[in-house]
Amino acid sequence: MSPWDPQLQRSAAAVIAGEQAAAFAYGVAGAHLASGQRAQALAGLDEHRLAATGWAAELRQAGGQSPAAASQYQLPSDVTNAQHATQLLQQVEAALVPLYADLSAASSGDVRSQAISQAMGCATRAVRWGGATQAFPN
Amino acid sequence: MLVASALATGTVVVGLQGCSISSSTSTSAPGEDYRSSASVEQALIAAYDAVILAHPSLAGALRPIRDEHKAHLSACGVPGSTAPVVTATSTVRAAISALITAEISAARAHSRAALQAADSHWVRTLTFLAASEASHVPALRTVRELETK
Repeated sequence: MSPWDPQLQRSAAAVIAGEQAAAFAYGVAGAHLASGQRAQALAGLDEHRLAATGWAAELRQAGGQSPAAASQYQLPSDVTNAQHATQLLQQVEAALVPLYADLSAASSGDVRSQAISQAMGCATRAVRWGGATQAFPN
Repeated sequence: MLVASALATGTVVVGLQGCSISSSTSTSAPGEDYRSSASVEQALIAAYDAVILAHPSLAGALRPIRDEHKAHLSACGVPGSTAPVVTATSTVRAAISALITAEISAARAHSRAALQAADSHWVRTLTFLAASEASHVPALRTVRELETK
């Protein structure tokens, strides 16, 4: 794989950090959700973890340095019940969309194609968790 | 049902425009892809207007989504070609289902256009458009569920 230009590396690193934070949020939220929603949250946790490791591998292959995941993240607000949990998931999913839009803009071919489908997936999940639709999800 | 097919036809046209973008990037005049995306948005706005007109009870749920397409249209920076006159289907269920189909086609057309586009700012915009339109699908499904219970 040819090395990625600095802009592409920065966008990919931002996506990786965002995905790591999203996986953390799903872990926190899942603990406050009941059966059906918890299963959905666990699936989301897997997807975001997989996305983070997948992009990290691609970035390293392309000559970049992947950010390490933090062990703790500052949540925007306390999560103590199911409503807080779904709100958190709406926020983290929507917040990933601009990161993927940046990655899409900085890349081409397969990487751009993946970035576009991830942007669509994140925006869709934000609404599935009860978030309002947005013209430019963020 | 006649009306449903009118909307469906509009959707097919949208899809075909998406195809023509991807197959003729090198020969298309500059600005053509902006106009093509603007036309997709204009057709969606017309479709929402028709459904709201035929089913005023849906206005509260649909108008915010329609307005998001207005914002998308502005982001295209050019006017689209005039949208075909659309009449909404007689049942709420069919009308919302047709909007879902139109949103899926639009998301597909914009993601395809994003893959082909050269200007990075425009790629970013198209990625947002595709993401927003994909997210309209679960929102419309919820509206359909609530309205046809």
